[in-house]
Amino acid sequence: MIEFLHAGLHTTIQDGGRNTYRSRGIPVSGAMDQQAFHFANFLLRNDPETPVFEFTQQGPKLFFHARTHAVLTGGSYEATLNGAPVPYATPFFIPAKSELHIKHLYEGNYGYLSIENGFHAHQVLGSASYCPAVNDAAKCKKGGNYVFVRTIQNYEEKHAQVSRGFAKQQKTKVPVYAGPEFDLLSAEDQSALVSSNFSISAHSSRMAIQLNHSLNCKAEDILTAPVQPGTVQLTPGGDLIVLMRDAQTTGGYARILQLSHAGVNSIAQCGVNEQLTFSMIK
Amino acid sequence: MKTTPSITRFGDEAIRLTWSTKIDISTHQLMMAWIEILNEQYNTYLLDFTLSYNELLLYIRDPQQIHSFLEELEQLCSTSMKPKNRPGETVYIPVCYDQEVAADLKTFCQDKSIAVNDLVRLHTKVRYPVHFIGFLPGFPYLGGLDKQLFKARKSKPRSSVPEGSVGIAGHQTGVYPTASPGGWNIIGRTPMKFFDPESHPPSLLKPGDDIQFYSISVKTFYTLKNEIAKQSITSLRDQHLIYFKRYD
Repeated sequence: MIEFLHAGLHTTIQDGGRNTYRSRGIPVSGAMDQQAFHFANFLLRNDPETPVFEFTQQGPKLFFHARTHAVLTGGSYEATLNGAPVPYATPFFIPAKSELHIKHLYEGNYGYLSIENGFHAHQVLGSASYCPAVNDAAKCKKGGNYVFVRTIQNYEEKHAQVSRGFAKQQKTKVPVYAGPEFDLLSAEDQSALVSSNFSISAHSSRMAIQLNHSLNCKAEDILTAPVQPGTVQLTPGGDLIVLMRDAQTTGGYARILQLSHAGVNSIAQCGVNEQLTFSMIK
Repeated sequence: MKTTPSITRFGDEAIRLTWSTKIDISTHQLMMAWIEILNEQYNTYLLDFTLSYNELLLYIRDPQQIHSFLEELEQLCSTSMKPKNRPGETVYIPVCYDQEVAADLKTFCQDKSIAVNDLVRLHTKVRYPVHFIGFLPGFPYLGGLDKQLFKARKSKPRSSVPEGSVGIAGHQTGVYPTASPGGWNIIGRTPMKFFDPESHPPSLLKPGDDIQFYSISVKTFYTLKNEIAKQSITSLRDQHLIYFKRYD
């Protein structure tokens, strides 16, 4: 059993998300950085969709009642097991009655903790992912506990430590496609979008990331239409919003760009005020 | 009317089918026909879909197959598609049109110079088609609102609109399935649950359904709300069968 001594800032259970309920208006949700999530499970030889703990900014403090193996991926942070540092992106053994302390993230936004063979997590509509009003129970709280099957595997120490377990690069270049309303923009605005610098605003969450920018473009509202994680909306007031995993399924703002799958993982790990540019996929 | 959609890719994982019309019941029926065929015959490609008034967004299981799916869709486009008749199943929704549970009812009637009775008559006389579900889990976008009831969104959205609130925004009317910030003009409230993630299916309505509102008193609203809260419901449609007969 794992017990939360501290929940951290916003620790939730996440997986690949709810992928068959969009027509009922249910957000996809799932790990913000799907690549880091899959990587954590891959290193443990777990099923790729095994639920993990996702933490942000300030990680949780956990007590393991039984022994197991675990892996940490995602942004950069320090973690200790009973006071001693643990490796990053490498399976490590956790003896029974151990305390794992994940400290604050100094680079990237989201970190992942995967447990060997996973842990028991309540499934709602085919996913254990937290989503407000859909699966509120998947937000981790102090005192909360999760059952897992005691470890059986042996991990040889052959995994070389990987320098980065997530997609972000310095000065992130985010690959994008033109969105459905891209053609409604003037040629000037179109070229400004792919040549300008943007930065991440503090108004960012699992639902959406707002971008700081110096462009002078606006777009009229549209008739409500489908949106997806990675859709970049331009509002009549000139705000640029990148929809993320917990976003609604339809929206009324112009959809000017669409991030690639990798682009969504990458922007998820950009910190507040971090700079980025868009590069158009031809 | 042009009945074939235009087909475009939207990112790595989705394909958009777009019709040139705006809010139109025959486009909706065509989209329902597309959905039926895609679900039955293209299940190997199709993972999920989102729809709106004039767009159908198809999510693909394997993004590597996007080009072959695009080709298949182009071919399907050249066959003639018949609009799918609506199943004709109507869900009846009790609504309390009273200022006590609907914060904008008075202002709405004053601004539109309309008596509450007339608002109720105009709002309950229509059988509204559910075009799609969006905005919030289980939130229905309905067509067919009487134009005497058109009213723009509130200039300042409320920070919290209670669940079950029945609202009007522009040419649309809808129901908030969960409490949420929102800018619709609230003219009534229903005790019925529209969304419950533990139910199968999780939303009361689906695209292609029809709904009809009927008026109930404040007293009945609270009675029904209490009873629905007590009842453990496995299907959201069941609450309708139980309560509709007993009270009206």
